[in-house]
Amino acid sequence: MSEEPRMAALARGEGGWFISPGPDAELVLSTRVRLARNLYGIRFPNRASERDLSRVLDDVVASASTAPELVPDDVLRIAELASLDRDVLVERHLISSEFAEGGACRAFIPGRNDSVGVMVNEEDHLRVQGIRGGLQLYESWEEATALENALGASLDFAFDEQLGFLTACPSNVGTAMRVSVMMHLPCLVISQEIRKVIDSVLQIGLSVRGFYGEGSDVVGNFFQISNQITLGKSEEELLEMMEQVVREVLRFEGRAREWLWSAARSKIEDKVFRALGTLTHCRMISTAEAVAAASILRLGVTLELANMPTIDTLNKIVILCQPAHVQRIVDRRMDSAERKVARADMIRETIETNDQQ
Amino acid sequence: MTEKMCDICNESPAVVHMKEIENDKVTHLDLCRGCAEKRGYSLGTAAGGDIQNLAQKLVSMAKDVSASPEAESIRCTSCGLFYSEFMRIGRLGCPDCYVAFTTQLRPLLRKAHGASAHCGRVPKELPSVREERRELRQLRADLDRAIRREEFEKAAALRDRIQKLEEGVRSEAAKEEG
Repeated sequence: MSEEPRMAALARGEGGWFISPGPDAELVLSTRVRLARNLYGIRFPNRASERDLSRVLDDVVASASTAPELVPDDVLRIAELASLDRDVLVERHLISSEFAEGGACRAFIPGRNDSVGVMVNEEDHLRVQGIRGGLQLYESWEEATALENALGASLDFAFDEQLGFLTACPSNVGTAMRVSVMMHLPCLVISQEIRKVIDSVLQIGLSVRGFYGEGSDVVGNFFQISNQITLGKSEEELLEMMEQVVREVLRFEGRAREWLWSAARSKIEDKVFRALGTLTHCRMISTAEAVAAASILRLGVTLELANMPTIDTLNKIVILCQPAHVQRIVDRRMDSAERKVARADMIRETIETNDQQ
Repeated sequence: MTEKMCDICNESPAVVHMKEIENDKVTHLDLCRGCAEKRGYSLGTAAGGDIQNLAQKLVSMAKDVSASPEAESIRCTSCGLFYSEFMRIGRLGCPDCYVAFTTQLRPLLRKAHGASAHCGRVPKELPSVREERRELRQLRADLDRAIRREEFEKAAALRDRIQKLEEGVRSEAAKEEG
């Protein structure tokens, strides 16, 4: 497959991890595991010459051809990608926005589906990623590890018996593993208990990122929890710790949901069905409004209200409504008003085709 | 991860990371506490206010731990990075920097991760390669010491041995791949 159809398929969301949502999918959008690896005897990217970087890329691409999980023919060289395609990769969290700014010998090697991928020459020589829908910590880890193993058969990873896998930043040394769980916590936000929950998660030494819209409104109620510590605990111990914390946060969300449902049922139903009206009838809609409405409908699914779209439809909307995705489908830059129209069309069509089968 | 400075004032480290949707365009913003609040992101309501990531902590710790000028002038013999540069950018230059700066990094890592020894997965490699790597690490540490003591003849000899051994490891690793 060449770059063209690969990027177009990606923008349409074909074969995406979010189509098969997995366990606890209403509350957990995605689970990601990222492993950082560097090649022995070569300087880290921030201090490497272009020749070094090109050697890394050649070696990784050669190794990728032996890994069944990857499609090495589809190596996406960042410098050669159209800006819209880079933006799509960023919106999908497949590459970082800093990485998308380009630079010598940076590339993304996609997997057979978008549940795995490798960034080459970012902060470290390799960033191997596994993503799953829902809460699937061990599955995502196994996916990333299988790929890392396949690459490790022919690549010489920098490793120290005392310190583990060596990384450009000492904050990643050891397992060099970062686990991130993107959670949907609308009831903790509405009941204003989110702050307390975030504080306690931060105290355990995990990091939390919120995703914001205009003003101080939270758009979409999505929060990402990640581990920070990478040294002194095994991969399994880190995954177990993440699992415990995520389950605890989900329990808090459940409690807040029960309380809200008993205290303000009509208010919530009103919000949910208005959001349904918005998404099924809109003719122009901004990203922020679409994400917010999809979030409220997600709550409707959790509450098992009637006539709700499925979780994979809502996943698809949240991901495909982002600006670069909307434009990539027609493959041209559009102004804000045009995008709003195209986005509204995409959303209505997604709901119709996915849910009326 | 280097210490990311605030996208707006570029003076204080960023502690709030967000995705902002404005005019239909998604932008990523890394802001310090002051600028985040000025922009109307009330940290009291929903954000992770005290997000200070480990990388940032490491940099500020590095400044505390090794304020001595001697520590700052230590240099990695493989890539030439000075410890003072690491303190500034928060990133090391190559895998051998971990050997060159081992005295400085160990307390940092213990403070940041609460541990200083890896107990996770180990890559598969030939025992002979592992043995030679251990020797290489030792030689590098000796070389760093020789340079610090200005024992240049000894340093030159050590450098030759390292180069020889490195070639050996590389061809051994290549054989293993083949």
